[in-house]
Amino acid sequence: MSPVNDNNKVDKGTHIVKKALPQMLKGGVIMDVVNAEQAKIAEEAGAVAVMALERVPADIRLNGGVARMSDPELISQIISTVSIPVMAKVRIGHFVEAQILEALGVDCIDESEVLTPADEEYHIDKNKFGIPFVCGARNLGEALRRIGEGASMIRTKGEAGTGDVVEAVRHARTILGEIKKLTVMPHEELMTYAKNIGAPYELLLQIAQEGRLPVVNFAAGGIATPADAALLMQLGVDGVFVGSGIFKSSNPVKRAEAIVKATTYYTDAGLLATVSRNLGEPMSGSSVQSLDVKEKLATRGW
Amino acid sequence: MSLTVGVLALQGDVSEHCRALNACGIKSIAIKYEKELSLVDGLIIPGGESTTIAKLSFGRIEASTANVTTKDQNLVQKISNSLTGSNSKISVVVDKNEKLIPEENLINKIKGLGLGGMPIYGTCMGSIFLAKHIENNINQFSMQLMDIKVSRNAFGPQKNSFETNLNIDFLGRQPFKAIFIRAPLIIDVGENVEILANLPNYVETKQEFITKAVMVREKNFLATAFHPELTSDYRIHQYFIDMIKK
Repeated sequence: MSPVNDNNKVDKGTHIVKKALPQMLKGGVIMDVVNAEQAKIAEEAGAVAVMALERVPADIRLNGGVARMSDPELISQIISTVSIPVMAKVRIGHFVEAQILEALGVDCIDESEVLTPADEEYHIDKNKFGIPFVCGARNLGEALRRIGEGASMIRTKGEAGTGDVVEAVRHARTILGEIKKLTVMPHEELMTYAKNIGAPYELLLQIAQEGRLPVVNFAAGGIATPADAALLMQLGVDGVFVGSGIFKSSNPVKRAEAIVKATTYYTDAGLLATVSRNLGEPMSGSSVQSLDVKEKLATRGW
Repeated sequence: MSLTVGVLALQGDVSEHCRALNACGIKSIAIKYEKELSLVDGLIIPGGESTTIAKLSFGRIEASTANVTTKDQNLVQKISNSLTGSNSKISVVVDKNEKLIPEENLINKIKGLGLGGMPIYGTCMGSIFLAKHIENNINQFSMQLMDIKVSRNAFGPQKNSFETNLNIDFLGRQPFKAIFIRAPLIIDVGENVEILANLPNYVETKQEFITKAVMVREKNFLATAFHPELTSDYRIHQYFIDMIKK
């Protein structure tokens, strides 16, 4: 007699299936690309996924104007060029751009502050989608609001397009520090803490018990060198996004490969020294301190 | 007997496997260096991106081959021979002192230990790493330890990733909730390979295959196309642990 199985069905787009894709990317580097050629370079360099966008953040800073989802034609070309997962960015709150990306067959959507927000009040209801979303966060409250809306992955925002790692460090330390604090907080303080940071209480309780976010947490925004990537990994994130840092440098292939190795062997200083050697010029960048408040992308989203 | 099981930790869902092993009362170690392999009785190759792990396993050549010593040249040849198809582009990385960066030795060591009988279990990408044959990607690296043919990403993009209940006879009557994430499929097996579970016939694939296996075993090697480490049902990890104990 065959075993009992009265549930002969296939469930797609469930919570666990959406959360699982980012879990497979842990310990890896996700690279920003603007065309299929760059996507191929990223894949060959060992990227775990590519992020398709219209312009890298450094160019968005430079040229200004409205930054939107990329041309679907470009995204389709990237999907057919690489075998690794393809992610693409939509504007905050722009659920129709997200619907289009889901229809195109991207593997994950980034609701990103790097693009010009489409809605200054509401983020996308990500629970409605069958594919995972990654969202930026600067602190635990912001991360938990995004997870509450259905995000399957969090990335610290950093300050994209600067090549300055200071904000990525700040946001990673903030989130990881708040999580640590929660694990030792007396139970009666949790509700007030949830209220103060604007976080859903049930999620906060879960984190207090487990000592980690319920989804994967990558670092982003300003990572430009193998040492930057290893720094964030040592601080405790699950992986890194590198945006302008690769294709705005003088030798993208070599730098990309070096950052991939540094992300795996992040505690091995000897190996970090080897891979950091002779990489050519990093992206020139601009220090976050030199930016005007309104030039900061991280303040978009809430 | 107290067992220790390693989880290859170049990239992928390493901590999930460690958690599952620990839940079975087994000590786990994340493995990044060859020397750590001497501490383990078995090894799990987790889910992750196969092109990334291949890259981490065998980097591009960074010093010209002319500068590599004869001894290293032999190693380059040995590594090239162990690749699927011939890919002259892939070679070993040497640092300024012409010392090999550790990971090349790691993969060769794992292959040697596997051939010597150490149990190895590959999930999803791990099954690709164990396979002798990989469909439509001749440059994909593998250790070629199992006589199986694998189709990478057999279901298409993430929107086709799914969970479903599998009936796996030897696990008993309770179905196993299997999670398939951009999963491969085992589309052919050699005569010494035992198919432990097939894809249920109601699941669609990108194209038709004659064999649609999702869990297979050959001697000391086990492979699943799905991810038992993502649930709290540890029966498959326990099965692997029992393989090590025997």
